[in-house]
Amino acid sequence: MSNIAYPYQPSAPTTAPTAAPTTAQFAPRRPILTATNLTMDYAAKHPNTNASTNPNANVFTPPAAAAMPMARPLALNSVNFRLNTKETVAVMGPSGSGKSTLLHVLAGIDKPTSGRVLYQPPNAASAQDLTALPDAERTMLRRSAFGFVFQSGQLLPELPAVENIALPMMLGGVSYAQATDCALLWLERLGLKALAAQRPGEMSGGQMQRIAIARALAARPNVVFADEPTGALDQATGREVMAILMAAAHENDAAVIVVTHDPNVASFCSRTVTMQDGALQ
Amino acid sequence: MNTFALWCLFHRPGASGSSGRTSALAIIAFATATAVFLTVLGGVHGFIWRASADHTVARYFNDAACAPGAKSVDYWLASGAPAAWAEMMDVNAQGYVCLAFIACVLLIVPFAALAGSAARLAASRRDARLAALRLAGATRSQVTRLVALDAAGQALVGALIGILGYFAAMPAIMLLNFQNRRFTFEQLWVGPVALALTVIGVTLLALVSALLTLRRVSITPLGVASRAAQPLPSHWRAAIFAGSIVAAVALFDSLAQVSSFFGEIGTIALVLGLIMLPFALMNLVGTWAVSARAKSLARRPHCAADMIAMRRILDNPKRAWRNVSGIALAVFIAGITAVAGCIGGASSASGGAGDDPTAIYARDMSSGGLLTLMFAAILAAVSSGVMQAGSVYDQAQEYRMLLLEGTDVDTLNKARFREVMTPLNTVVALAGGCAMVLMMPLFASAMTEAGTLLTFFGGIALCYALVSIGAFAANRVAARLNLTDWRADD
Repeated sequence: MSNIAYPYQPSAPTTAPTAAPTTAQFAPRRPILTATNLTMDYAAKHPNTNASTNPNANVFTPPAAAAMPMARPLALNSVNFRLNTKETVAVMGPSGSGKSTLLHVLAGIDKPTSGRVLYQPPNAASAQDLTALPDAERTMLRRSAFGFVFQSGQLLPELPAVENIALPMMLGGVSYAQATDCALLWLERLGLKALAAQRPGEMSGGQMQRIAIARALAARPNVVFADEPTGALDQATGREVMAILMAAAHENDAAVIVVTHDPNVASFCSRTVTMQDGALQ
Repeated sequence: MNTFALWCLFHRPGASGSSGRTSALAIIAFATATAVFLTVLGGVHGFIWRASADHTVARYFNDAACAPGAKSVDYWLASGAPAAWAEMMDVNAQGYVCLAFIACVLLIVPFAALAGSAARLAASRRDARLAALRLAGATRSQVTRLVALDAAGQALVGALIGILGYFAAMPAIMLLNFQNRRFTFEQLWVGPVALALTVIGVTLLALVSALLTLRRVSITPLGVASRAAQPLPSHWRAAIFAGSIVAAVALFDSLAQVSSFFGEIGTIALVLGLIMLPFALMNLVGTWAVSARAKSLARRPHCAADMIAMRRILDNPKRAWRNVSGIALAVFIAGITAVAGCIGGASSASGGAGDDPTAIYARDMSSGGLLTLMFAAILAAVSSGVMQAGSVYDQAQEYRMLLLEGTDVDTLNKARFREVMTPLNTVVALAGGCAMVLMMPLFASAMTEAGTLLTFFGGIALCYALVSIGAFAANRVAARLNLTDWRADD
């Protein structure tokens, strides 16, 4: 491999951790994300929601149920949350408790009904309020400062693995040659070089998640958001994937938030918080 | 539960979601196809009306059965043509009918492409829902009948709207001047039987296309098979295409010898056949050309949008080709029209008076060519726009993921635009080049005329403009998709 200094070159490979990092590794650090009093009321956001704007509204409501007076459940109910630099946090809770909504609001994908999310990059003097940023700036931030790993479906089916990893770098203005060279480094590092030319439809679930991790970290993000990253995998593959995610994030000094139902996945994180009915316990 | 009850379940108000919007797209496509078809049929009817002794289609084919004493030349005399020219106008009227039929034949390809696109939309956008139905216990035949009912229903509604479009377009068609006089309602009115047959024909066409599409997509309870790389079209397609062009050009170069061997009629048939053959083969080579171009651009894409666009084309070159295949014929028609217009202009200049039947005939050939080009371009552009808009809904989940990960909307719009424009450029180069190469040995002098080139490139510009409108409309559809602001499965 050449010695060209790529803007997104991964750090030197190290062995993956097999257990959660110790608290000593996460000495008090400054917060990178601070959420204050977050509330999310989907019904208030979409008072005229119908099938044409909201795919989830495509649900049949029995007339009797529709007539019943009900308290409106909040997806997020006065949530306060802090994520420190290089910290790893697992968000657990039952289905519908608001975990993914919290993740989306923290990542600037969705705007809360009320409350603030402050993002402070490690070397910046001041914080940015994600809830006040225009969509274009939040998009830029997601591209450059955040990485995402979802349960499935995040890789473009038409692109081979190497181009899937190169895509975020190219969106940031890196040339095709540089981006794919760097992507190849990531593939090599994760032991997936043989998959470089394969498309997601030709890979196993575990391989796809490894590629997704490489893609999430290729742009050297400050925070990695993972939503059920092992949800579609068996336990052994899930552990492998989590080990790779945590090791790669640690080597790149990225903080990680993982939404999961699985205590085994949560055990990879230094802290676990639990959500219930839209509130943090 | 019978199929109709199942269909009703999915078509409750508010239950249709994105499939409801693709249904609307399919209806638009069917309506456009029907309106254009009826308008062209109206034109054919008008020419037959003028050429027939008692202005009926049946009598046109059987002169002996005409009302006693009726003569077709009487129409021209009665409509004010000088007696010296009326006879010639009557003879030419047969030629107009012939040309109108040729225009119809030329429009079959874009018409079929549009109807096929609409039927494909009706059948293929429901993969997830149909798979869920199978999982819930629906049989394959129930699912097939549901799709058939959907497609036929859309075609029926579209065809009925198309009839309204036919009536709406009629005042504009009545302004057109052919055979030195304007069309009347009576001439353009195809009659209730033709309307009914058209509606039935469009519905049946949709039904058959949808069922054929469904035969290729196996709807299993587990949904659609994973998308693996497909082998790209092989090079022999290009070899066959190039061979047919070379053979045609060689034959045109030695037309004199060929003529002495086959006779005049045989030579004309051979020339027409050899001009049409490469365009019949265009469908064969089109997919190959589009994928070859995309492959070369995918090697070193300039930006992320280019990379996404080229990979999408390579993912399904057939789809990319289908989006613009109608344009291939439109460009070919532009080539013929340009040459015909130039030759018509020359003969009209040498013929003296502007209302001389020969000059009128030549001028009308050019106008008819332009009209055919316009219809072909409209059909192709609607087909392309509908397919693009349909694929926006199809790829909504991918767009959502891309946006979540920081892809800006401009990049996605640019990728979509490039996904259409790259095949379009390839098709225009291929079809335009092919038309020019084939016409060159026959009409070399006409092809260097400024008027010919102007008409030819004007036709191509029209195609670009209409397809761009389609691409723009697809981007508007994408802009209306709500990709991020809905509750995740948490």
